[in-house]
This record gives sequence, C-alpha cells and structure tokens, in this order.
Amino acid sequence: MSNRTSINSMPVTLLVPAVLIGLIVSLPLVYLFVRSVGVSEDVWASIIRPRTLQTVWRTVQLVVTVTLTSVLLSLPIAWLTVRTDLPLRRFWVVATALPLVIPSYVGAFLFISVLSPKGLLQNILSGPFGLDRLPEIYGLFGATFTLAALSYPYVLLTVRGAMIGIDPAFEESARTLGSRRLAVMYRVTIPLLRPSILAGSLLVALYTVSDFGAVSLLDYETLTRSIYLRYTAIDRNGAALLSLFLAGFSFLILLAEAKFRGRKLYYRTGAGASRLSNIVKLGRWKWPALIFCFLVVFMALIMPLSVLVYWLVRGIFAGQTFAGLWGPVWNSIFVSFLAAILVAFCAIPVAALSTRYPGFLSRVIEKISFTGFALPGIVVALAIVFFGIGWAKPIYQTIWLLVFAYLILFLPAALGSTRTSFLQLNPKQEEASRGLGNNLFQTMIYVTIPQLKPGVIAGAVLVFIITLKELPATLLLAPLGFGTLATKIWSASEEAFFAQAALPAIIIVIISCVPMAFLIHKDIRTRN
Amino acid sequence: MNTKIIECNEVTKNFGDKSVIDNVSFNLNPGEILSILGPSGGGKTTLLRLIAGFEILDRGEIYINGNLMSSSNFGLPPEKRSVGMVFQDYMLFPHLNVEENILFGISHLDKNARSKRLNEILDLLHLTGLEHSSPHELSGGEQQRVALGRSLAPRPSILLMDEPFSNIDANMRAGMCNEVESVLRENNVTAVFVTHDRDEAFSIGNRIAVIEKGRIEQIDVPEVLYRSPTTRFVASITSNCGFIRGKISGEKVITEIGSFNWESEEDIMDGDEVDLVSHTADFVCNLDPEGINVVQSRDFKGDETIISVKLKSGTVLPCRVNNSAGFNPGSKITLTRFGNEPLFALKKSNFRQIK
Repeated sequence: MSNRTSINSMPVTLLVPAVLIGLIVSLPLVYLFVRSVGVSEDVWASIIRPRTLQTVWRTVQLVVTVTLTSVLLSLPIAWLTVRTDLPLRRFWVVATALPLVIPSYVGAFLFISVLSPKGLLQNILSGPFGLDRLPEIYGLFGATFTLAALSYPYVLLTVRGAMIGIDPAFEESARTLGSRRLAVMYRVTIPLLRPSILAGSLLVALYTVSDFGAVSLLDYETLTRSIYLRYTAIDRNGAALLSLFLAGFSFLILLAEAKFRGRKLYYRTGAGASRLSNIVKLGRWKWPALIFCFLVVFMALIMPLSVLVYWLVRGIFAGQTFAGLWGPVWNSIFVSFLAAILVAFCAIPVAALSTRYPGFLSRVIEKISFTGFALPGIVVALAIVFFGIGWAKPIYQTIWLLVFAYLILFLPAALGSTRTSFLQLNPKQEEASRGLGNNLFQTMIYVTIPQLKPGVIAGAVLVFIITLKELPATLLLAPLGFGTLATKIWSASEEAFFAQAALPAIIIVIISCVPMAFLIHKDIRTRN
Repeated sequence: MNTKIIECNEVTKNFGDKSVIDNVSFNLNPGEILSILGPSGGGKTTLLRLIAGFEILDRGEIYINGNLMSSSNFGLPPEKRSVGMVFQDYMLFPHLNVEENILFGISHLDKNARSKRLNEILDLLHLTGLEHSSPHELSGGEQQRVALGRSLAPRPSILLMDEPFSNIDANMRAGMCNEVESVLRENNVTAVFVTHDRDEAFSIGNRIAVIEKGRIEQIDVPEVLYRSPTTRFVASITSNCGFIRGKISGEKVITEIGSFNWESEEDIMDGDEVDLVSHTADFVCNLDPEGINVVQSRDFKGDETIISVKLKSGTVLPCRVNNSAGFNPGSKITLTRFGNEPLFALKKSNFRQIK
C-alpha cells in the first residue's frame, strides 16, 4: 500500500522502533524522578543550603560569561568570512571552526600548564623580568576563557549559515529608506540574525552547563562538579537529587531561548541565496581584521596544539615512556565507532516519523529524543549507573551500557542532519518512483536511501567526533580496565602529568580533525 | 519647466566582459511613470539597481533632480539618493510590525511628524487597523501595500518598483495594479516600474521602455508602441501579433492573402521586402471548405477565442473570432481584412534599430 503521506497509515515497522527509542531515551529522566521522590529528609536538607545556592549562582555566572564571549567572538568572524574580501577566507572558515575538536578538559589542562603559578609563562617571565606572580587563573576567568575559546564555533557556525541565507534585498531596502551601512547592521542585520544567535547561544549555554572536565580542573565548582563529588563520596541519593536540579536548570535555559526567540518571527532564508550579497571591500581595515582572526585562531587552536606538542617533546626528551596507549586508542575508536553506527541508525525511524507522520505521538517522541541535548552527560551517566545496578545487572560494567548512554546523549546530534535529509526528500519522489513501476523495495534502494545517505553519514560522523572526546559518561560507565583516550587524559591531567596527557590529547585531535574537516567542507560546499 | 526628476545619459554597465546595460538614455518628468518592459535577464533589474545606487556604472551619468548620482568615477550611496524601492518579494522586515516597517525610513523626524505621516500612509493604502500586525500575518496584497507605504513614507523623489506584482495571484493582479496606479497618480509620484507583463506595463506606465539585452529598443507611449513598433521584438512583446511577408508596390503591399494599405516609420522603397505586423483583430476569419488557410490550434478564453491560422507559406497568424463554433484544428478558412487602415510595415532586415 502506498498511502504513505497519510497520517492514519503510520506503518508499524516505523512506529515500533521509534517508540522503543523514545522509551530508552526518556529513561534517565524518569529514573531520576522516581529516585528523588523516595529520598529521605536529611538528603533534602543536605541539598537545600547556601552552599548549593552558591554553586547554582556560579553556574549561572559561567553560562552568561561564556555565552556572551562566544557571541562577541562569533559575530565579527562570521561577518568577515561571509561579507568581506578578507584574504584567505576559506582558510579562516575552517580554522575558526576547528577548536570544536579540542575537548574542554584538554583545553583546561593546557591553560593551567601555561598560565598557572608554576606554568610555562611563569617560567619564561620569572627569569629576565623577575616576575613571580601571575594573575589568578583558577576560577571564573580561567573557566570562561577556556570554555568560550572551545565552544564559540557553535555560535559561529549557526550565525554564518544564517548570514549566508539572508536575502540581501532586506539590507538594500533599509539603504533606500535612508539608513547608512552601520545603521543597517544594527537595525536590520542583527535582528534578522537573532534566531541563529540564540540557537548558537543555546548550544554554548548547554555545553557550559554540562561541562565537567574544564570546571573541575580549573577548580570552579559548578553543579556538574558537585554531583561528581557527591557521587565519588558515595552520596548517591544526593547526587541524584542534584542531577535533577541540574536537569531543571538546563530546561530553564531551553525555555528562555524559546521565549526570547518568540513566535512571531518567520524568516525567508532559503530563497535568499538567489543573489549573493555585495562583498564589502575592507581596504586598510584588512589588517586589523586579519589580526583579529589570527588572535582568535591562535588562542583557540594554535596555542593549545603547540603547547601539546611542547609537552610531548619535553616528555620524550625527559625519557618518559608512553607505554600502554595502544589499548586506549583502540578502545576509543572502537566505542566511538559503535556509538556512531548505533546512534545514526536509531535516528532514522525517529526522523522519519517526525517528518513524515506529524501528529501527537510523533511530536512527543521527537521532543523526548532531544532529552540528551538538555541533560548534561554526568546526569545521564549517573541515571544509567543507577539503572544498571538496579535493573540491568547483566550489562552493567560492559561497554553496552556505555554505548547506551552515548545513544541517549548524542541522538539529538544525529537527528539534526537526518531530519534535514528527510525534509529535503519530497515524498512525491517516492510516489513518482512507484508510478514508474518500481515496488516499495526498489524505491527504497534507488530513490530513498541514496538521498538520505549524506545526512545519515554526516550524523554518524558528528556522533563519532563527540563520543571520542566525551568524558563524564565514559568516566562513570566504562567497565573496569577499559581505558579510553579521554579517561587517560583525565587521570594524567588531574595529577598534573602534562606530558602523559599530551600524547592521547594529540591523538584525539588528530583523529577528530579528519571527520571534522569533512563536515566543514561539506557545509561550505552545500552553502556556496 | 525643464526640471527632469531623473535623467540617464548613455548608462553602461558590464559584469565582467558581459554587457548588461548598454548605452541607455531616458528621462522622466515629475509625476510621470515609466514602465520598463522586457524578458527576464534583459537587464531591467540591473537598471533599477543602478538608479538606486546598488551597482556602480561603467560609463554614463545618472541625475536625480538635476544632481549627479552616478558617473564612471562617482557614486552617491543609496541612502542619500532619495529613491524608494519596492522589491519583488516586498522585503518587509520580519522583526518589525506594520507600523515599525512604515516608520523605518522616517525615524529621524520628530514624534508628531512621524505619527502624522504614519496616519497619512495608513489612510492612503487602507492599512488602518493592521498597524500592529506582523508581516507574516498579512495577505500578499496587504504586504504589497505595506511595502509601498514604507517606500512612500519618506517622500522619495522617485519610486522604483521591481516586478512588485509577480507574487500576487493572477486573478488579483489586475485589481492590485489599478489600485497602485491610482495611488501613484493621486500623489503625483514619479516612478519607474519594471515588469515582464505587458498588461501591467500598459496599465501603469505613461510611457513604456522596451528593453532587451541591455538596450532600450523603443521608448514611447503605449499606443505608439502598439501601433508602430520599431522592431519585431517590440511588436511581439507589446502584443500578440503575427508577421506577414509582403512586397511594396506603390500604395499597396502585396502578400499571399491580398494587398493592403501600409505605413512605416522607415525609408521604404518600391519593391522592398517587408514584414507586416498583424494584430489579432486585423483579419476576419470565415469558415470556407475551399479556403487555403488552415486552423492550427485554438485558445478559448471565454470572451474571445484566439485561433492560430497557418497560411499557405507556413506563416502562422493569431486571429480573434467571437464565436468559436466550427473553428476546429484542421478547419479551412478564408481571411478578410477588417477595415482598411494601413498595416504597419517593418523592413525585413530590421531587427535592432533605435529610434
């Protein structure tokens, strides 16, 4: 039967897997609720006290500073790479996006290793200048610097995309109505970019809330770190309750974004690419523009990478050995690959349901599948730990439970591009194929799958990259003796064994650069 | 007396080595509306963008109110030209409501002047009550009127309109077009209106410039363009016409379907080969089994029916019949000249010549 676009004929082969995935994904939240309901008075008392409030306040501060910094860095870079004749534009497009591959805990340990009281800069400066104190880098400043430098590309990528899509006639209208170029920028361009700025900021804010590695190393106690401390102190009920707090916090951020975005904004962006905007000639402003881009790329990419190499070389010369790395390398690649395949496949039925069969059920499943987007890794990991101990003993302490957590966390990442592919594939094409005499199976092989493939692969590649650097879930759920690159870096940098942390960090960066370059290249190709 | 609102002198624009606007000159008197008619890709929009100041010209000059706007080494920025522009897709700012859109260009005025002008515009374009609506809540026609109001609010010297009706449903277009025309006339707005639709061009413009491949083929009042096109291109774009081959013989022109009176704007001599412009009402069709002309196809339009008639030579003429009964493909017919007004003759070699 080919009555496929009708709502009533939602096929069972699609519905069953989608509902199953929805149930799996909603598990952590349900579990945390159930668990928190039963906790005793004194656990509540241990949570509700000024110290917790301070932690929440610190988290809020960090979210605000990181998000603002990211927006302030991204807007000029987006404008320079989209609308001006900045030299080497292609290079800057790729280079400014690449800091995404550096895990936050690597960023943090590099930051500490350079700027801390016994760090590299101190060593360099103390000799000739007799400087023996650098400004305090632990705390809010260090955490903001590190997280903003590594997460601003989320804003940059969404804003760049939106800027390319803005119909230049909007700005031209404003010009004929008497606005100068600069006035057009704040009266028209930035308001038009607002949804994309907010969408990117949302990603950065959630990234910051859920970050665990960098804030821990930089000694800035946020909610994630409190949860981890309670968990390691075997206060599991307290950890669960705090996790629920943190989840609520993320949902508040989601709500705030939805509220600010407003409902009245409808943007024509797609059709706008019909004519390219006039390119602004920078003239002598070229040099400050280049210096700005260089500084950003230097701080966020070049410096971290060179410091990594420095520590590695220094370690080698000091005769350190790097034995036992093959295991973690293999484990990391294996588990990331597994997660990429699994998550990409699970995204297909959910995306198909939500794009092809709109309705109450598919809307609910779609919303639930974005849980991982709002829930910090440490919360999901904790819920899965409890679930594993209580209900899934056979797979507790196996990599399957770990992959299970990755599925919950990264399903939204794969859903994005898969959904887009489904939306671009007009169901009429399938009908046309059936009309030309192909049966359902042939239609899938010749029409549907070839067009979905790029989106599904892009989703898998993205999941691979983020799984590779994921820390909190891996730390809590990896079976005993199953070391990955991320856990290796974590344990070495916690002890300040920078050289030992450098090699696995370099390996992570190298392994992720290839798929990352693939994604950026694909992005540029489809947009330009 | 001699103040021209706009004056274009030998304006030329190239994109790379491709000439987009080639030596275009025209001027407009206050209150005059010029329709620019031509096929897509002919350079119409580029000409508007040159006037608005979005493109830099390669040669020539553009003056507005006698002030130099553009020359080969000078270009006043768009915001200083006092031009209003209505875009194809209206380009209402989606983050602003109707009122804010209209006020966008007059934000420098004081509060009283602003609200006075706002009310005038709302009144003029029948938008009262929609002040606080968002653009996406409006119908296509309403968006169109807001866009027009927004451009008129700062009282521009000249209004440029780039195919403003192309996104309006075909059956609404004529009404919209008349409405806009009367608003412009009543307010004595000088305007340049770009379109590829001859009905729109005729109903809005005092004069029409037919433009193709970056050149103005002919610029004149609608009646002249229709009656006396200077080229076959102008004839085909301003009317649904056919061309009959003929040979000049004194007062008459001899063709395969008879000899007729003729007139021309060109130097035509006895014995010259010409093409006669034949409009749909120039011949009367009669069914006749003995006829040598054959109905090729028919296009029933309700009030009238246009049939394509194939002559013996293979030439096809569109002809109007009032009662379509019997005029089926394959029917044989005779053609008789309706009245004896002269037919307009074009020299056969003449494809491109500017008056």
